[in-house]
Amino acid sequence: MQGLLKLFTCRRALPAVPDYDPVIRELEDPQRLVIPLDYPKLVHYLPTVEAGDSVRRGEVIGRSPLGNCLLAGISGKVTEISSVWTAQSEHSDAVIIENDGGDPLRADEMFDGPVPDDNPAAALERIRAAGVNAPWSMSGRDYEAGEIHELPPIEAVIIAGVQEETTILSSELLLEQNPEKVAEGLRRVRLLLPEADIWLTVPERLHDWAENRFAEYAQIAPLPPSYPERIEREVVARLLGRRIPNRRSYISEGIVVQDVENLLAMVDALDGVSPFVDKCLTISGTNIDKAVTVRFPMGTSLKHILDSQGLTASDYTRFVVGGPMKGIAQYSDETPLTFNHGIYLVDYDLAPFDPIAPCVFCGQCTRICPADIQVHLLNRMVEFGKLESAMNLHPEACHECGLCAHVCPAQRPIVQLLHFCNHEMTHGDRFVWEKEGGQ
Amino acid sequence: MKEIRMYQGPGPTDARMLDVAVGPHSRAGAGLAQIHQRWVIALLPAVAASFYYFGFASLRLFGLCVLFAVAIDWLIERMASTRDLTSNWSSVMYALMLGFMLPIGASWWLILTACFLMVFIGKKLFGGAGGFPAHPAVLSIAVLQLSWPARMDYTAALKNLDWQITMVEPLRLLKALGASAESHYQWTHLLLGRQVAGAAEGMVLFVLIGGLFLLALRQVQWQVPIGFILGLVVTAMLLRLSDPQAFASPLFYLFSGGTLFMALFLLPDHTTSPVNRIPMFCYGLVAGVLLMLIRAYSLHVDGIVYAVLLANLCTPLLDMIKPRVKGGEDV
Repeated sequence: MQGLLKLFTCRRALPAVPDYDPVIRELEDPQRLVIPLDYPKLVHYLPTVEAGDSVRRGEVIGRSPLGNCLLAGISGKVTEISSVWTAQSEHSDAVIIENDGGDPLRADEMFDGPVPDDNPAAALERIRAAGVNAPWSMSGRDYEAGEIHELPPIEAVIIAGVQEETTILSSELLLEQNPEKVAEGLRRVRLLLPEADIWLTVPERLHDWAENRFAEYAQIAPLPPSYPERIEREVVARLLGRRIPNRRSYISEGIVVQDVENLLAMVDALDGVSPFVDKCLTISGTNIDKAVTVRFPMGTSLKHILDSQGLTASDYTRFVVGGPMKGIAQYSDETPLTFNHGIYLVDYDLAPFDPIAPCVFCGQCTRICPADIQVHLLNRMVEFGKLESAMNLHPEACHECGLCAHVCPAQRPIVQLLHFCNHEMTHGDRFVWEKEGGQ
Repeated sequence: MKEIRMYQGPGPTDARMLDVAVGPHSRAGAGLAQIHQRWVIALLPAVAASFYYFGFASLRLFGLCVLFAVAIDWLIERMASTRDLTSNWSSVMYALMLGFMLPIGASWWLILTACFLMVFIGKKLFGGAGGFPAHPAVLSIAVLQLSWPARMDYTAALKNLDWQITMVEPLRLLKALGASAESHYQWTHLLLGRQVAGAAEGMVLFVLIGGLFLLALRQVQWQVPIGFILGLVVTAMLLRLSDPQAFASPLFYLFSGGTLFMALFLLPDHTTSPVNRIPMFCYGLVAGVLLMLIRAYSLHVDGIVYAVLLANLCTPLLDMIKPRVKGGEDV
């Protein structure tokens, strides 16, 4: 009966902004932290502790070649340094700390007071020491070649007060609840980077509110509560007036895109108040009435976060870290969460993509594509191995936003087909990507 | 090779329950069967009207069409398996469309031939649903009209019917008498389907209801029917201006025969129509102009099948009008 009703409804809705609880909840300290050391395309830490060491909350446990620090989120004993799968499905070394209920490092043990405004070098030093991964304090991909690349000067800073996934509300809540601190952070960024343009994206409902408070420090960019309008690469292109090719990182183009949470952590670090060891994350899902936002020490397992909110793991079929569109389903609830903004829980049997369903050329994917790619042609070309023809249709413009697969009536894994094509073009041994006319 | 020692945690709570399928984890689509079922639902009002007018004969026609088409589809799938499964309802949808254009009371072997042409030649030979360049049902009707013109004669099929209307196809009479033929028909009769046409294609109002349903569900994009009607009406007006004696008013062309059925069902078929917005509009326009030209200057009475086939062949060409890929040039 329900299936029959579905035939008469036009259910094209993307996940909307859920009803939410505006209070950010604090978690009890978990028994164990698993802190990954490797953040691909961002930073790679080398451990500075060994198995058996005792650490206190706020103590340095890893350091990158550029001096960025990774800090322990709880006090306890390092039991081992081992390998884990991170939430991004990357393989990484990790430091495992067992909680022993010890005292955290006090602020005066870590920092010697606030950093003065007129000392950018000390500010940079402090940001690195406090574990705030401000991109202007790190190099791109330094761990790959083992050398430090020179990066262009920062031209633009975009502080994201809105996450692209509509179900993730942590940034909005932090922005709304800490306006003074955000203003202070924007002022600090201006001091650090006097030449750069600074933008702050805010949800549309807070537009006037934000204009009144932050207009003197940053340009305000309101974003409507719809996923296609919030796709990060599109927003950046809209704000800057130029497009960053998808295969280039922002930092290599002199652009910084930062979460509001990082900005707040930077203010805390510069004021000598607290290091960046806690992260906020929104839990939403298909049967969760009110999305909740929690603050947890980085490295906490998914299981601990769900348990603390009274959610039963066995009620759900998928734990998606991230949002429903771009998130990654986890194979285990032991996955450590670090720089993740949200969890999306699916409680019904969502059919996997149908790898054999034929494409009927309905063209919904092409009409919804934010990059105007001819997706209906591309996904078939990839399916039948016609990668040479596929190249001419610019698959490299794909943001992998997932809109095409969301609307596909045949439930084809379109994002994965395009990803495969891009991967073959850049890394495959069959085809080598050349610029147009570059052969 | 370096052995990687993995961290052995306490183990997941209930690993059996977890689904690690790829994203996105929110889906609007619900399978190919659903879209075909929606089209079937949209076809039903006209089928019901046909049943009201013709009774058992209509039921027999549509029943046989669906039965033969599904059976042939299933047999071919058994013999040469493709990814176009019988369970995706596409053969049901196309069988109904085929029935719309067959004369009522068509003999069983004609229906069988039509279904074979549609499913095997029109659909399966090209690789199943999504692979064919021309609408299978229309292709099949075109072959039948060329092969057995007498058996595809709608006027002859309805000669025993006791309707108080002019029992000739409106467009045929128009060809014979010129513009004066228009006065032999009443608008209400044309709209309600009391006109000589295929089994259900002439049920203008009921076809319109189904078409609006598809438009509301975004199965049909508005560009195709609007472009088509625009092309048809403008061409018809120009023709009427050039020779008021020979050509009827544009609305007469719109409501007679299967014109609206073509606009709302045959032209916007997913596989054979373009997908970008401007090409869809051009496609409708081309089809409208072609249809009027065929009706005005050819020997065919109701040229919808040829107009559809010709427009279908333009689809790949028209789809070359596409928006520039954003962020694709400078890599």
